[in-house]
Amino acid sequence: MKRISVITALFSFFIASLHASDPIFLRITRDLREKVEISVLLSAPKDAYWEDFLKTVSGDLDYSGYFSVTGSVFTDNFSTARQEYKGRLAMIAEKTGEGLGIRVEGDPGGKALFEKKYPYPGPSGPRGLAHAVCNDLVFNLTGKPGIAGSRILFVSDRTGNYQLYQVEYDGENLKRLTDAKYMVHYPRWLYPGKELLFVSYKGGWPKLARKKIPSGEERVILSHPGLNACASPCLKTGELAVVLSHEGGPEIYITDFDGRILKRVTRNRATDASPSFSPCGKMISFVSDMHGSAQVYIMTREGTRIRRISYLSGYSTSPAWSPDGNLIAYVFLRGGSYGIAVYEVSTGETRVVAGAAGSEDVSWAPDSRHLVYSDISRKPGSVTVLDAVTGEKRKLTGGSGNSFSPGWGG
Amino acid sequence: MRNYMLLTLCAMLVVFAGCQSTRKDNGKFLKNGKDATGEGGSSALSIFSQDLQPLNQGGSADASQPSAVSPDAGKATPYEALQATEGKEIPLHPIPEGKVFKSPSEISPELAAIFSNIHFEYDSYEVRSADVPFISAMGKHLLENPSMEVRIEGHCDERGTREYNLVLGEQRSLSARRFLVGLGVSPSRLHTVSYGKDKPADTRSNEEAWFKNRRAEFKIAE
Repeated sequence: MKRISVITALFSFFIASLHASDPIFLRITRDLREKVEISVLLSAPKDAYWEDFLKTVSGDLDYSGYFSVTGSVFTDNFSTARQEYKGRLAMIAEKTGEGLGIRVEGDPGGKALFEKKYPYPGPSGPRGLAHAVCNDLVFNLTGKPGIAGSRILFVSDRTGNYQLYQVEYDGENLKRLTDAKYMVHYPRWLYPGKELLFVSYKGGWPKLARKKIPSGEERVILSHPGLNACASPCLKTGELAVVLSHEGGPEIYITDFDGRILKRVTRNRATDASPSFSPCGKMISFVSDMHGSAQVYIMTREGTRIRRISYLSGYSTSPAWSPDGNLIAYVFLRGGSYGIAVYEVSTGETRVVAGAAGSEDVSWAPDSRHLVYSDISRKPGSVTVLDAVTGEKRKLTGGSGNSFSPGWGG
Repeated sequence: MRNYMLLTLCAMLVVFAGCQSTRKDNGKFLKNGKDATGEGGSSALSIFSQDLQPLNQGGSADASQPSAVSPDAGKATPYEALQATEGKEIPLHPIPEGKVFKSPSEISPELAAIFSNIHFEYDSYEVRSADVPFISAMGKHLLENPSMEVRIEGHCDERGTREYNLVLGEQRSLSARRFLVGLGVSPSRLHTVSYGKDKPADTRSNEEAWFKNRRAEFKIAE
């Protein structure tokens, strides 16, 4: 055991030393608000495929929050293009007979910060190729997963009744997932991109169901009398935190992915809502009015060591635990408007990341940096993405009908 | 010696009174947060008495409290109804297959008059004192018609976040159900469903509409 610890420590030191010598890594991780300028230079035929690739990869880099794209062009002369499109970094993309070569460098001709070859044309088209390039680069430089190509679930009433939809993180490829005659609601990824959880009112009351994508196969997993809702999956333990009311009051339970109850967590007369598992499955954040008004708390999975973490206003709800485990985002009501705050678990500090966003139903992106929320400040309500570091917002849905209850995470 | 005993007795009385006071405050505090801050309207219980019992935080299952939930016991006053079920967990029962619940107005004007909506204060799920006569009349009718089942639908106004309102709506359904059970109606005849803020009765954004939307509706299966 001691030997393993020593090896782990040495390995960690090695990784830290590797990155410490890299000024770009230091710059990106020192101040997340400071974006690194990058130009994207592509040597490839100027056709629809590569135009789509160039546009998408530039958009992905910009969206990631770590980069500011100074230019993206087709070129066969990289050195001239580097002089024209100044940037601290250059992504040099070259299509060869073997595929697409990507090299990201600081100084012209200097040491590559990132280098990888991708098969062309690839199974998922130019957008899929661009997403893969961006995610690999982000992970390589920051150690955090990228969000390019991830999909967001939400509910919309644009057809007259509630239906579930999915859309890619940049608003592309909107798809309707249900054609239900009854109310469907609160979608969340169980296995991102492959299977989701949602609340189905089929039969007259809210039950928890699973739905596969793309087959559409549905299966109800929790159908106790009363409420079966507020599901939060923990992939590490294969468990769900849910709210059930069949014993006479809304309480938080832990079930497996098939809905078998493993444990009742809360036992009180309060309104317990919106549990959100920590990624390790040991802790749960949740909403309770146990002390009068709705506030956000954290507790162990045994229901012990309950601690309030929201102190911004008399009404705080919708906690969401970040995939990296260090942040809990929640919605607070102040001055008649909803904002978003982020509580940092390691320090206990709280930061308001959106003051009056008209927000509800927050969900983290896989990078633990971006959040999606439903903006109800204007009608129709929309689904909006927020960079919790810079405060930048992107409205994902528009047009007719309200969009709400988004779920990201994959 | 006598003085010493008198002093001891006085001290015990002071401590006892203090404990009683704490129990009362604690009970009210946990009963509904709005009351703890003095906000919100008058609760149904407050019109009868301020002397609440301490809450059952242990959540003992109702199966061990047959007097509170025995099928259609039927003699309780509204005060006794609230006292009997206050703080108790009364398990829900599955809705029998094929049971169709209708709006009372679809069945008869008489039923529509009895099973009218009850309303709640903002962010509260206590039955208001103003609604006690209405819900008591519902209980009486249910006791006189033992085959009738009711689905109590809890709703919220547009303020508040969506998922929290879903749970608050369930609390409102459960409050109304708890009251009816306290009056003697069998819990197996009373079902709950919450729609949160997704089915407003009035889509406007003003106090009048919000009041209409913070409601429990009663649907009937005969």
